[in-house]
Amino acid sequence: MLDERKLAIDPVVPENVAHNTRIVTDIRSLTSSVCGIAAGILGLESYAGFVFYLVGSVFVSMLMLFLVADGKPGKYFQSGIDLWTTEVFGTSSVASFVLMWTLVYNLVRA
Amino acid sequence: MGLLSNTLLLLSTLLLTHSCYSAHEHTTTTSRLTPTSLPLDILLETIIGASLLCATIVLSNNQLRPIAHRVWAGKLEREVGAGPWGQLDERVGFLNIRTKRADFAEFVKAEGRS
Repeated sequence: MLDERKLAIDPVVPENVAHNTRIVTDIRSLTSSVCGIAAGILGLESYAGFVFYLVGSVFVSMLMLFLVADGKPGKYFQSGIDLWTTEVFGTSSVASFVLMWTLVYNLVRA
Repeated sequence: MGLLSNTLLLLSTLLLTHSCYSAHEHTTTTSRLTPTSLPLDILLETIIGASLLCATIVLSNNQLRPIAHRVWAGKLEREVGAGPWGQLDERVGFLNIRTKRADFAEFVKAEGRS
């Protein structure tokens, strides 16, 4: 899809691509900490916690799709799947999820 | 947006804090030897609080910018007044200096009369 001909006809603004990616990264790292807090309160253990994280990421992606991207991800991202995958398995969001999960789990069940 | 997101933020933080405290109370009051699962109301409160907080975070973020160059340039020209092709609209070499002088003379005359 992203061949040279398409880019020549319909050029993209690299700064805006970087800006959008940064906003999605910010939202992901904040919401994954919130998911971690919820997982810790619910007392999830082992695989259930990671399944909870995946479900939470899909929920946040749907929120972003409808609240931020107006239901048209192609207008803001180079491919439509970017909104769903950016930073889901990135180190910062998974790390903050596990951090808050273990912290709250131990605080609640101390 | 400001009032709505602040209210949502306060409400969801209260819900999450309360559910956290309730879960802590539940674990301290029940026996450790026979652990029971979390009551349904704490579970629902946690899920609703976390979803609301996620929605608030998503809502209170900055707007995304369109990546297509033509869409972005049009938006800039409409909202800021100067797009990336602004220099094509203002070419000093094509300035009609006689019209400008006539306009200025009219302006001075009108100012002097009033």
